[in-house]
Amino acid sequence: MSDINIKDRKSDQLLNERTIPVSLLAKKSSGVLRRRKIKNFVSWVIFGSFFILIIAPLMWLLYGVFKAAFSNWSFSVLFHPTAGNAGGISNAIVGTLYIIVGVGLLAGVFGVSVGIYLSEYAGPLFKKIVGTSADILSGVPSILFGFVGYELLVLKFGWGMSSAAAIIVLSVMVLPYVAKSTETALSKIPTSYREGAKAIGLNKSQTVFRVVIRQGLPMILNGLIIAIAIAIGETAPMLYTAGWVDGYPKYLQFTHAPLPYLTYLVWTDYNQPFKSAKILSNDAALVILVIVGLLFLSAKLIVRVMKSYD
Amino acid sequence: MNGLVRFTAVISPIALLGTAIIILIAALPAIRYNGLFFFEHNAWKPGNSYGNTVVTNGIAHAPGAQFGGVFLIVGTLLAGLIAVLVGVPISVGAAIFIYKKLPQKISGLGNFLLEILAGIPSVIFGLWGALTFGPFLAHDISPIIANNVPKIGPLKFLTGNVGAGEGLLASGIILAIMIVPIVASTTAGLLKQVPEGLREGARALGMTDYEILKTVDLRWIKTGLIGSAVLGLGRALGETMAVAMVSGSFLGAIPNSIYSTMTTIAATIATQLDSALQDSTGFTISVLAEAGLVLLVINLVVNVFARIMISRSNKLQLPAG
Repeated sequence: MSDINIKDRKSDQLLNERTIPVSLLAKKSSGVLRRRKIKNFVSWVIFGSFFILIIAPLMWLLYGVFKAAFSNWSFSVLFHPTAGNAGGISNAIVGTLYIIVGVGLLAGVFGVSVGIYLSEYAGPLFKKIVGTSADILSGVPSILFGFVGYELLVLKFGWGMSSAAAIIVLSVMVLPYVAKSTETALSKIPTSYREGAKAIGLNKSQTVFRVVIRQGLPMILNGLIIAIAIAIGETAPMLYTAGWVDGYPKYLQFTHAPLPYLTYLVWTDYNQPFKSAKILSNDAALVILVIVGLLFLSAKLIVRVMKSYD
Repeated sequence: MNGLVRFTAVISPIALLGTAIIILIAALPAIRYNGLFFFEHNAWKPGNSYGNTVVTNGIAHAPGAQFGGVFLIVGTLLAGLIAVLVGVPISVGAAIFIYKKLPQKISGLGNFLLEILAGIPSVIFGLWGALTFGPFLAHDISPIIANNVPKIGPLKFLTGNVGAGEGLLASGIILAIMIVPIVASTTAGLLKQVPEGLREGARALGMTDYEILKTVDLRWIKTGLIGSAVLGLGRALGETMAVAMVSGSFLGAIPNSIYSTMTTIAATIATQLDSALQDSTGFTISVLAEAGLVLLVINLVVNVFARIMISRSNKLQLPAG
């Protein structure tokens, strides 16, 4: 595949003189060929080692979190709420489940809707405005969303630190991601589906909601689940909006009731002087990783299973 | 249904505008009281929260309150710079390796690992950085650099006391790892747009894989690569929890070596919330908003620039000849 080397600077010069036949040229530069092959090999070794440089910290980190949690693991933390610097993390797990449901609903409805708009309804100008603002929104640091949530929802609306404030802020934060993944999913549906729907007399919204979305559903759900995984891993915006409570979150009370969540324990307890607090921090880190991992797996699984049934 | 879908489209522009406006309004008292002092000095003195409230120019604040944020801006940019210098070459190289060299089957696995990396919460990076990686750096790596780099000119910044692991270098490297997924996936997206015909032509000329990469792929995506690096920078500048846990959260001075403890704007907004809530005048919160406004402006500039570069790369034609 790389036996002739016309592209070398040296052979280029020779070619320009147009005096030496190409067959001779190949012979003359066999040393050059070897050098090029070595260069090729070395470059891929370097790129490969960069790849390893990325994988190594990932493995180290996962190993570190698992080791720290398992060295003092007891299953009772999963069934008892936090009590100061000790106790368990069950209240935070419940709070995190609240976030999964809340963000799933809010970001699901609105994010998917924005994605549908971008893919099916928007003209070129609005597509540009909405798409660009979603792109920029996805680059805004999450702590600033937290601050805005604090100023607007916690103070101005007087909701206090609450699950409603936290879930709305997280939903706005992941909305661009859901919208973009929905748009990508729908834009892959062949135009012939839309044309076929039109041909049998369906109007625009019937076409979109009965034909196009049904085809794009696995990828839409995939994007939504990953967005939820990103949301429950967030800490910074939650510090400003969710607050913390040692007990369980109040059932179906969305304002004026703080929401415990797992990442708070990791952040608050990791450098406390009490060993019981450090254990909570390590356990919470493990549980959050496991939940995120399960969400990622289910996202992959949904694409596989639903694809095979259509 | 049509109407509902059209209605929701305004969410993202409104959320963006609303974010900017609300932060600006919250920051106004601090902007008026601090004036240019905030951009010229280093100071973080919330004042005596038990003293009587003082009113200056109609703005209530605790007695002795004085805030200068140069160290915040410098700290944010320095940490971002280290992250980009370390993280971008590695991400681009790894993306090229995954998508151009690895066989299709293993390439999927490499992609999956990048997704996992992107999914790890930043607070867990912080935990690992504070408990494992930071101490490792201070114990095994930093002394080698600090003791062997000559103390001349700007290299002085690399020498000095290596500390216990929390600081600028640790933060920068953790950020470098965290921006890998976005830089690598953007690079992968760019690589996919290189026309196959050009690559085939290069192969027909007898080029090696590396030569094709250099003369065809990298030349085609050059502008986009700058964009993806800047996109990574934007991510690093706004990253909060990992930096808050690894930087040492040192307020009030510019880091004097690459090992010294420091802080960034985002990390400060997170770590200073509790003490800001102690300030009954609410002035410290307003200062945090001012810092947040600076971060937002930097971030918008960086992100818009990155998007322009990336979209321009998509439209590029190869230069004739």
